[in-house]
Amino acid sequence: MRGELVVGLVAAAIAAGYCAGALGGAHAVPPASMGRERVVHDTTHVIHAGDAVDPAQLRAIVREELALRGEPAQAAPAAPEPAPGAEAAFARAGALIEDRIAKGTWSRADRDELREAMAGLRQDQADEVARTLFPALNDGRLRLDYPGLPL
Amino acid sequence: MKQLACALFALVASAAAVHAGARYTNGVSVNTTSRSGGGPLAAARADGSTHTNIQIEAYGTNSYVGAYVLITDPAGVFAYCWTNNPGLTQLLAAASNDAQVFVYWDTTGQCTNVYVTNDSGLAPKAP
Repeated sequence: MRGELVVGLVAAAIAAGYCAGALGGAHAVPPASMGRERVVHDTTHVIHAGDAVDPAQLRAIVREELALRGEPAQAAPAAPEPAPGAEAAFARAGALIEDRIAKGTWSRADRDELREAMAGLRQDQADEVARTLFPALNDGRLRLDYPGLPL
Repeated sequence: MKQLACALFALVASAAAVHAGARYTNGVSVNTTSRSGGGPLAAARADGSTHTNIQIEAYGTNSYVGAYVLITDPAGVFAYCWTNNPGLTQLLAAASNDAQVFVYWDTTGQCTNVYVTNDSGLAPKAP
């Protein structure tokens, strides 16, 4: 029963590979015989119904089929590209805010400078700017010297 | 004849009043203890105090998005709350001139709840 289930899975994997190859035209594999005697046959692996299936052999078959379809067995997520100059811009924004908190006032020129620095930031860095700036405005450590918005 | 005209005018005027629809006035409030505040944008502009206002700014680049709200009540008590949540940013950015905006924030100043209400009973923003 278990052997039949495994063989069924292998047949499904090979059939998927065949269909993808046939559609793509790159990998022509003859249709697998669906008879009880020979379930799967390609140039490297033969599995007969009722045989105990070696898990390593099964993994190898699936890997080969995926490779023929041009798909990696397990796609790794792409790492985010660091924005060029993001660290320098972040340091500049942080230094500006800290300096103005020490002085207690925030001017329109400060806002413009911050906007310029923030143009190169990542999400986490922009969040850190907000996390520093807004509490300082809320608790009065920093006051705007112009009517308008700080960011 | 004059009396009849006056009676007819009163009748028409009262009928118009009955069919005017619900109208009410909400003010702008800030509560720094419960960390909540807001009100209708139109009411903020119409308020007699020069302090009162509600300002919303959404900001972003190709790398980040965010938004913040500044609410100042008639007494000059104010609070900012900000968010980096794309959904809340979208809500705040969608607030129309006649909308009512009410927000809650946490101890770090981040918005936790955002309510943007469009209501025919609220006064429209006047010049």
